[in-house]
Amino acid sequence: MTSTVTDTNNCTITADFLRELAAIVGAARLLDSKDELLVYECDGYVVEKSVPDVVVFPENSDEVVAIVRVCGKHNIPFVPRGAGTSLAGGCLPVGGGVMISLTKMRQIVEINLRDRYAVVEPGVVNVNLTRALAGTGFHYAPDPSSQGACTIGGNVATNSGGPHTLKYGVTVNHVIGVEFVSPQGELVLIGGPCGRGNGFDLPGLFVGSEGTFGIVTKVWVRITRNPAAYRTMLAIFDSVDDTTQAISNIIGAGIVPAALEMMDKGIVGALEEAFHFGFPLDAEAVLLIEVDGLEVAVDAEAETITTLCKDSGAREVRLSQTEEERALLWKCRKQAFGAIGRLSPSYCTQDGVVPRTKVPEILRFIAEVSERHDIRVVNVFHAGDGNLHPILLFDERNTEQVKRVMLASDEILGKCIDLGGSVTGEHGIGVEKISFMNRLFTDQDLAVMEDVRKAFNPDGRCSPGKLLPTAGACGMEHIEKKHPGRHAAM
Amino acid sequence: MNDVSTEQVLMPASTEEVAELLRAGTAGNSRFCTSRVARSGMDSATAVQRVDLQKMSLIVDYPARDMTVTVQAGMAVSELTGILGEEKQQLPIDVVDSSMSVGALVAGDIAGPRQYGYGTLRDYVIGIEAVDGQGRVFHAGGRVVKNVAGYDLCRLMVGARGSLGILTQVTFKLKPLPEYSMLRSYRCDDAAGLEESLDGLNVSAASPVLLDFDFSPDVLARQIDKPSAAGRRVPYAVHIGVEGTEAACLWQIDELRNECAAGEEIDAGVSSSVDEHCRRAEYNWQDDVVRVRTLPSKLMTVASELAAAGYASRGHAGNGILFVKKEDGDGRVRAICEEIVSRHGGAVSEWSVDHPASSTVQHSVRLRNAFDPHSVFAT
Amino acid sequence: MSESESQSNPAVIGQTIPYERFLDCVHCGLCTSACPTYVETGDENDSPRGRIYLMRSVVDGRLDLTEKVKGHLDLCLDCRSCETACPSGVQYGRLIEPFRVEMHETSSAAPVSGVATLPTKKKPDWFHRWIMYGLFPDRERMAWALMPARWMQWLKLDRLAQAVGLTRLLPERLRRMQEQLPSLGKALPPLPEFLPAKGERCAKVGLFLGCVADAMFRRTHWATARVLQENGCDVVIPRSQACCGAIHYHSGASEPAVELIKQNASSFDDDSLDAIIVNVAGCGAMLKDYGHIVDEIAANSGLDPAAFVSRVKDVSEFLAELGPREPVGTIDAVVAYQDACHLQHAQQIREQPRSLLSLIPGITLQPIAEAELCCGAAGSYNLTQPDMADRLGQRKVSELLKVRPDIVVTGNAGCSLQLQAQLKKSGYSVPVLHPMELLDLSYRNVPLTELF
Repeated sequence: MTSTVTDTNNCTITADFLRELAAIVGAARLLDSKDELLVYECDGYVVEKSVPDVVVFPENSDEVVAIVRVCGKHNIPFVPRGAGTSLAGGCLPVGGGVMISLTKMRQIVEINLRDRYAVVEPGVVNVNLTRALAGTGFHYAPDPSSQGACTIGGNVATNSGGPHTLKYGVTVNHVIGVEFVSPQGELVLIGGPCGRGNGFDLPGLFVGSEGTFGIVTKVWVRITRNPAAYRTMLAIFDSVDDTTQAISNIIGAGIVPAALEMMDKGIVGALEEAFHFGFPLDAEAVLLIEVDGLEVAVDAEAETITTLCKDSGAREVRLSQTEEERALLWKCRKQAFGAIGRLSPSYCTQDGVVPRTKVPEILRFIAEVSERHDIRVVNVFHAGDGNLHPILLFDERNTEQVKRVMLASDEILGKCIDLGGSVTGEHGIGVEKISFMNRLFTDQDLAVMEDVRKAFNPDGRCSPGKLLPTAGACGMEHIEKKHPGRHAAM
Repeated sequence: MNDVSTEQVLMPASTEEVAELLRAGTAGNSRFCTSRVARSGMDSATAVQRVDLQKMSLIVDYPARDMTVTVQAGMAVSELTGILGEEKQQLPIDVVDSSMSVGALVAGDIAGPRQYGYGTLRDYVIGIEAVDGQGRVFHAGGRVVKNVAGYDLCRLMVGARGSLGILTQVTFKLKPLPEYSMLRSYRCDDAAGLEESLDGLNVSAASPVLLDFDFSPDVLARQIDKPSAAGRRVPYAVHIGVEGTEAACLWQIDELRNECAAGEEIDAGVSSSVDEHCRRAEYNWQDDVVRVRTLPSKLMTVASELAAAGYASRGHAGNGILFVKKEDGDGRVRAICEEIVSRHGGAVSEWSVDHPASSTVQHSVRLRNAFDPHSVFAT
Repeated sequence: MSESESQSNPAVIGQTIPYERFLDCVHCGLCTSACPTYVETGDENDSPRGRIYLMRSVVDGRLDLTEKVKGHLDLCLDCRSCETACPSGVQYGRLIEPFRVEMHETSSAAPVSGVATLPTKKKPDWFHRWIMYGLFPDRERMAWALMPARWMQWLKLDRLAQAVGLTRLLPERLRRMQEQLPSLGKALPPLPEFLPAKGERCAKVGLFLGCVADAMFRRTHWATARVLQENGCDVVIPRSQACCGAIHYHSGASEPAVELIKQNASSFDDDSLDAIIVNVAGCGAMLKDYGHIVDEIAANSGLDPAAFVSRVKDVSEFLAELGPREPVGTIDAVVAYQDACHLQHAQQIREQPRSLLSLIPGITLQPIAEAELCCGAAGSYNLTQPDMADRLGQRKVSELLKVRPDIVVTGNAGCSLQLQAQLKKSGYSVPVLHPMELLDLSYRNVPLTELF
């Protein structure tokens, strides 16, 4: 392992520049020594690394404006960072430059129950909004599995999903306004509590732009009424084919559960070891299904789903009897990734999407790829959305095995595209999947997208090297591409 | 919605033909518009050629069990509704005139009463194919319900009203058709009673799909259209629609009746079903009204002030949307709305006046320049 | 630098930590929002993921152990909240604790990694030598040391001294100690060596007293013993027991720590004991960790505390397993329960104290927000990191006050001191009690006023 990752870049940080930044945020909210910058060289995606030259911690939008202007004056790239939980390198400071950490902008500015919206600063942790709404009968619907740590600013950047987005929609369906600092250093407001008015749906375009349009300083989000009732079920299957058939039958029957998640034998075993839920270890796969809505309606829906599962070959369908049981079941699901540590020294996860009826086909393909490359693969994913998270297990010390993991991953994502799907359902393109953009989109598509980027970010100074293969940046060539691994390649 | 003075109707039969036509137009300094989504009264300095996609009206892919459909933009909404209905599915967007094309629906971001329960087109369009002003064919999204690859140009195209490109193909996420639906209307004695009902409904255990209101105090009786049935005038009314199983609908109506205690149930006559209500022109954004978008909590204040100025209103209470009829020959309505909104927050628009292309917001202007640098789209 | 290379370099610290423990961290970041210092500073260097990254980078030789790096590592409360949040089962405590022990035992003479200078032992400063190691761990000395304070409080002289600014003449850390002193009340007699079970006898337990707690919170020990008796337990209180050694171990003084481990293991070396009961979360976590610590700092000593460790139970944990008898006396009060980190994170004990409190007639238990966050006490942390301790203390107080409690309850001596001091600082005089004190009152059917 080498210690030189991206020490070199094309951006020149001068003493003047640092002085000007320090004048904005003060010395206490600025990091510029190597020993304190290192932790910012990667996020949840550890395969590629790049150390920023400076990290600043603004406390309000005026400071963000001033920082961005100084960056413009000195032609230094900058990138926002929230909690740094991106699985695609969304916070990677490609080419160095300034990292704008938004962790000190974490006020919930306003909660308006009557008009069903809240205004938050970008650094608010997703779950903290729902916690702040406890007892009001409302919640914030997008619930990515990392919701305990990830920030709403980051959710806006990546258009985050989560288990309950099957019924309630992803982040973009809940964002009605965004205040951001443009790469030119202007404070811009798009949308707001009354919607977007007569213009283009700029908030809709902004959400999912992965930080390439500017730095979010405030977000207007919808808040959602809590369902009056829910039923949470665990359906147990003896074959993967039966399980995927059940998924297809449920969706095909026109039922939209609040969540429909699949976990296979490998993952269930690891979760049982971690949480002692009482999962059947001999089952080939389980479905976690939740329906919610009116008290008068949920029982009927739960019964229909139970029947559909049994008709598809489910051995048993268990209904959660208590709130604690439901909470534990969801905890297991949301922390499933972490439990992988119990199965293998290294893992690599993908985020492909296929049309929902193609779930049986892609799972058979994954099993076939797994066998052909002799790589163990376990599955835990948002079945109702067709959003897969195959997890490829390996040992990073075995370089030959690592190559097979790369090949297998590539084949799986390629198949997702062939089946009419996509390579990312919720993690984002970031830097990780940039090479797939040419396979998903035509040259003209990418040219149009590049024009859109330029409309917001003409100089490419804001979040360079993200999302588009054409979004070049100074220093990008210096990023050292490492193999995927659970272990931070240091 | 408007008759645009046109010289010629072009009927391309493929996306490539649309692209060729636009490329030729770029060279020949022509201007184009697709039906229905442009404004009326545009300048006619340059001849405008109307592009009609009626030759592009096929279903491209309808995997019903995926609950998505990909359709060419020229298909009429009524035809799509019929096809989806056979699979007991729907695109839950209310349209008054369903002869409109799917492309016009999306480009116009048409939405009616059920946007309260179902959201709007931005929540249903998951993929597009379009041709921009340089004749570039571009795609965004795909055919899967969850996808974050690339910029979300789908949302950008929804409601752009033809100013960024001509939509040639759209993929929608679908919903199941409800087994059953019910509409109930309640009268309130005064504005305070109406406001109280609406506040109560905001925290109801029921989840109605539509929540509309009428606000026309007796003094304004002359202004509003007479109820078609009983001939009984209802100054303040709230209309609530629910969908789902029969049991769920009945339970919700019961619940809602309790919550609207201030209101007395009335017979709304012909529009006694959700379906009919949603197709009534007066509960949709038309040419002859001014639309006000404000916060739901400010809606009754805005309505009261409009009434004081002599205007009745109605609209979507749950979404904070209100419509006021424009009077013939009197151009004051908009100005009055704008004055009221300036104090309470919100936005005022008229279909035939306001268009995203006329937005002076810098990013909108830049996007317009990126997609249509030669101004080939007549807006 | 490769793993094997760095291991061959004796100058780089952290070498004794099994490298696999670093590799357990998948860098997902889910721990960050659970970390009190990160929540306060927003700097990832002050987050668990960041600290692991710093330590690993030092071990790998990518980073020098600079003052800034040490500062970020020292700012860690060791509350282990991150372990609760971590889905990968990273043993954060088993990383930061040995790393800091080495960091403090080693002088910073050779900050440049890769330069093969042998680590040199650093001498403890006066504060650690006299106060932390000399005074705190000794129950007798502590009791004597507190005598003047007890008298001053009784004569209200302490307030006078504070009012005229006399206490500002004290060195800062001593002044903080003075500010943290609880209202000491009258001195209670030491507990006897044996207290018999009441009613049907169902267990025989040892009671661990600790050092600071016995001097300042003897009332809690008496209450605990009576609650145990009430629940049919013979209570044995060996005189020879010592301080748990946490103060020494956490500040890097491993030799005295090992001595204390030995002493405690032999004091409670009695096969007839069903359990060794601890009522201070910090001590409990330390006692339960003896096995790991011996592996770490005294692997070749022949010491095997396994039998001791297997019997250590927090009193709430023990009572919940035993099935507590119904308390009878009514206490009409809104209670805010603050989880001690060393109970909820280090020992994963959350529900048991709550269910015990709920048994008491009249008590309304109000959940507080940010219950998982440390109050800033963290052992001697509030003496060594006063700024952060105050920030976290005030943050906690503001959450506690939101539920308007009549009583704040917590199961750790250090947390009690911190919460009392912080509440006082905010101008509130809500009593801070141990769950056993309330249970004891209810079993004895005496009113709350007896405590004040």
